[in-house]
Amino acid sequence: MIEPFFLVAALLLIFMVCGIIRIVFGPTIPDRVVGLDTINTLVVAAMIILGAAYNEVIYIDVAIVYALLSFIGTLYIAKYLEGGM
Amino acid sequence: MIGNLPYAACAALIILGIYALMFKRNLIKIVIGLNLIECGVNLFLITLGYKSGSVAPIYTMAEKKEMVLPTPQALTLTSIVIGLATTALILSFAVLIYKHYNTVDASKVRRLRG
Repeated sequence: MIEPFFLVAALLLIFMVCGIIRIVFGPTIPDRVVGLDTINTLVVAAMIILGAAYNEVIYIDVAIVYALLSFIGTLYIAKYLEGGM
Repeated sequence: MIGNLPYAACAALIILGIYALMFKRNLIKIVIGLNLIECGVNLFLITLGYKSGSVAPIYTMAEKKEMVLPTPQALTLTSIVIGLATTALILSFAVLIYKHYNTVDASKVRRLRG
């Protein structure tokens, strides 16, 4: 009997592989940035799901910090692509 | 077999990093290769402390199970900070080289050129 949380995590992994395909084959740079942002959001969701699967409260804090940092990273790349730096 | 997968990932990261260090000319790509090696080493340290079926070594509401080894995690924390400082220093050197030579090609930076 497989746990439902692990099933959801596996599904998120499949979505992440789709995002990686977009990053590898993306024709333009903004395509790749959008793929990276999608993967970041999926990673946050997967961290929360795995925290529920392993019965650990502390993993939720890691997910919150990762959400903030991924937003800042995407913002940096967008600012650079816009030519503001 | 599947238990050795993290070690294979470490080896792949380190080999990729050494390849980038040896055969890439762009200074930024060389820094990226150095970071890849550092990531491989960190992953190797973390993998050394793993025990199957154990929980994170935090005692707050921990289950009555075995915990993974905390010493490699402390080593990895130190290693991450050292790697961050090294990367910052090398990147500032790269910026200085670009300002001085107007190129980031490592093969064109020749101070004693004829």
